[in-house]
Amino acid sequence: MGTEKKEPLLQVKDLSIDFHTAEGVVHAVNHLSFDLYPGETLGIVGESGSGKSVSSLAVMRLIPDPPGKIVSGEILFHGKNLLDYSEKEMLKIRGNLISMIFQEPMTSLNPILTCGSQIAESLMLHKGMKKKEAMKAAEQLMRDVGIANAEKRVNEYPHQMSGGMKQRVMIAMALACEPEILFCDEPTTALDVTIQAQILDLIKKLNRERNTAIVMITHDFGVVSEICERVLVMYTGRIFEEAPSQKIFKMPKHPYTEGLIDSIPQISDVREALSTIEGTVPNPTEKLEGCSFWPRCSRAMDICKREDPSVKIIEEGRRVRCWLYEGSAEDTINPDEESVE
Amino acid sequence: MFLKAFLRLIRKNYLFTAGCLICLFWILAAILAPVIAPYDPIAQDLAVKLNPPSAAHFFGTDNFGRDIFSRVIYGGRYSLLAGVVTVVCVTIIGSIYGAIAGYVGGVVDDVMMRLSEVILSFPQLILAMCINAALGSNLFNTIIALIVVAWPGYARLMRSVVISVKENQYIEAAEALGASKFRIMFREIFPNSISSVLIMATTDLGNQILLFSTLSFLGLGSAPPTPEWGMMVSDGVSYFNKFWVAGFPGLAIFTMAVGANFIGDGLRDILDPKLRKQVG
Repeated sequence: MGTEKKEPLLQVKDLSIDFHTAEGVVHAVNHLSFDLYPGETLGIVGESGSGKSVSSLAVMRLIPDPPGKIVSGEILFHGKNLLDYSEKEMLKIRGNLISMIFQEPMTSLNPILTCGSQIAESLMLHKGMKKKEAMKAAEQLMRDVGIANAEKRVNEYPHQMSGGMKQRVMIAMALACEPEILFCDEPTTALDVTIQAQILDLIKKLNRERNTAIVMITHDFGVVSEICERVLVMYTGRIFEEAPSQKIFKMPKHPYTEGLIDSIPQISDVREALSTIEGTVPNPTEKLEGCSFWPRCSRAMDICKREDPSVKIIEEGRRVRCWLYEGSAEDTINPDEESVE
Repeated sequence: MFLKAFLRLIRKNYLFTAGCLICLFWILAAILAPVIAPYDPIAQDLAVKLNPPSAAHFFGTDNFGRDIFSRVIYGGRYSLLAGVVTVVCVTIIGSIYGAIAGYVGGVVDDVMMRLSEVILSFPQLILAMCINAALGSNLFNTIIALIVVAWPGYARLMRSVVISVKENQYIEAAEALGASKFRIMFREIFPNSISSVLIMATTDLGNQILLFSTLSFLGLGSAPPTPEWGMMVSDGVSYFNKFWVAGFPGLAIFTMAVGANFIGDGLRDILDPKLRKQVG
């Protein structure tokens, strides 16, 4: 990989997560592995139910247990396994070293506390600041995330702000303690397009200025092209493809990635209807033979129905899980990852 | 900040102000009873029994010739004490219990709720009587009996509100920011859930005063010569053509309950920033 010299900040290795529901066991994440380097922006793309949000919650150790259970794997943060940490130790990491912003800015703020005090909260919690000092810092943070009139806005309540403003407040909250990793779980889905662009610009700017590693979870390749250096494509809890983002747009390898990129609306195109991927994500409780994508795949072969392909490195920094590339690959990327399947 | 909001409410929210004044009025009346009351509340004067309101007896006299005005003023001491203490205790116990059950969920929730339902499965009055009889009859024990009987209703209300509040994304966001369970419970969930319980508490105050008087009427709670609003109302029922006997103590209960209600509405406004904005 291109960033080989740097130590990875976060290493997810062979992570599997099950949910025990009334309908049966859902394998939400299957043998997921990826690395995240300091200051990098990584996009995780996939349809609903592909396990992208669950993976990020797992890193924060916020999977509700029961019903969720991390079955196997390691999550190494600075080389230490987060899964071995006690709940108490995790409290010091969440919001301090690893932070998260959510999809719904409308409901992500406590309605009865002022925005300023909610930002100040995490400073008081993690940095041991006094209330007054923290409120001052909160005001500055609000200025940093581009909220005009911050000295007045700190004392306003969430309902007095617009959606974009609330998302800015959320970002300020998440960044208050200068975390090393920021998970953004579809941060712009609930916002309209112009605000979306502003928020993405803001995230990009903060990534540059503070060297915060960003994990952008989204189903929107448009967002990925705006901001991410590297992309993971996930489907049914598995990695389907990993690639630098310029390359994936020019030359997607996996048929699923191709389908996703094809379904981005193009201004230049005068098409009647958007192209889509036929079918839907398979029922997660069903056990599938072979590759989990073959029923929807336009290029499915016989072997796809029988056996699940393994993840192959096809070139520097690119991995793909598909039988189409099985022949050309030199070796599997991570032997322990796939051997059991 | 809370104090400022409070002061602003007093100026802008007339109902809340009225509620405070009414309650303050009765509390002061009860405290200053020996100064205000023109007669001894239990002194009988059969020569003037069942007299209508007059200059000598503002609220008239009852069947023993006791001055009803003095009795109403003194009565606040018992009725208010019982009502307010019961409601305050029940609100605290019920909301904390319900919040824990609702937030923790699972088996803890099941066990806690079944325990509270044991109490709910008895008729309120009969259970209160049993507890009161077992503990012995005095003001303190009656209040305890009322508390035991009333808290499960509060706990259930609180639990149901907490269950819906804890699904909000700001709870998840708080977790992601490293807030502990305890902190989430008391800083995020509790304040967002408490307002409906407060409303219930203020509407319940009148109820509790009446329940207390019912117990008194049955010989538990306070004993007969004691001037107590509820008991005075039930005594007055036998003389329903003499409206003042039951009417004035009834009016006292009524105004107190209404006052408490107004305060409850006002408190909800203080706790809800959206309404606070409109008010302020």
